[in-house]
Amino acid sequence: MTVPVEAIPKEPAQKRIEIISLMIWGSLCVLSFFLFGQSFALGVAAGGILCLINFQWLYRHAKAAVSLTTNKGKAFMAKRYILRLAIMAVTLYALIVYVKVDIIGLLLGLSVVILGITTYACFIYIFAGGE
Amino acid sequence: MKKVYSSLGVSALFVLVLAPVAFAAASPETVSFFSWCAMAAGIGMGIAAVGTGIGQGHGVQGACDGIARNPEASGKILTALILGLAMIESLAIYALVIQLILLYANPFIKYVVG
Repeated sequence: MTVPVEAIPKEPAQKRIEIISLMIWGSLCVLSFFLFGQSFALGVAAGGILCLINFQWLYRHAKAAVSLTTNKGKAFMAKRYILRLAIMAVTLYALIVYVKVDIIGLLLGLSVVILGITTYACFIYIFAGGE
Repeated sequence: MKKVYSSLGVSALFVLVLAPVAFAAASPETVSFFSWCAMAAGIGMGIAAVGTGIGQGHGVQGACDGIARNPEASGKILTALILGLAMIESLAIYALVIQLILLYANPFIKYVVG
């Protein structure tokens, strides 16, 4: 049995995680600009944009994959994963080799979604009792 | 599993064959250093990509099965899937950054080349 892609709504939890990730990214950019300089802030900004775009792309691919049958879904997701990774590789190569962004800043920027998920999980377990 | 082993074998073969050709004109110490860096980058990225691919495939398989059994829970299953996939994929991206640092922005290059 398959489920139409349009029929799957976006959960409030995911919307909150996206907003938290954006807020973390913005604050990190501003803080790193004033504390560590332009190159570090550029790394955070570029990494954050890449990470957030990749997350949105991942959402679209996963949404399309779960509407397929199991085997087709696995193959679809594997192909899209290779595509995403290749595009990330080319972009990161350009950022590291040609733009010469700060590597630590780039890694920090690439972690904004992970930080968003962790922050949301901590918030839920501390203030909402895990619900 | 056979596909995994064959992919790893092909990656290792490419690295072993191409690394000496790429650094044919350099000094022996530099060749050795860059050969090891290229091998580490190729094998490391290969392992990271294979692990991530297998993990994501299992995740999607479970989500597809779950949604087929209970279509009303598709939203919650999709959210859990996305969060899991994002966590898994970030590991591959970190590995990718480390490989790019090893190959193109190696901090130890000054000790080898001088």
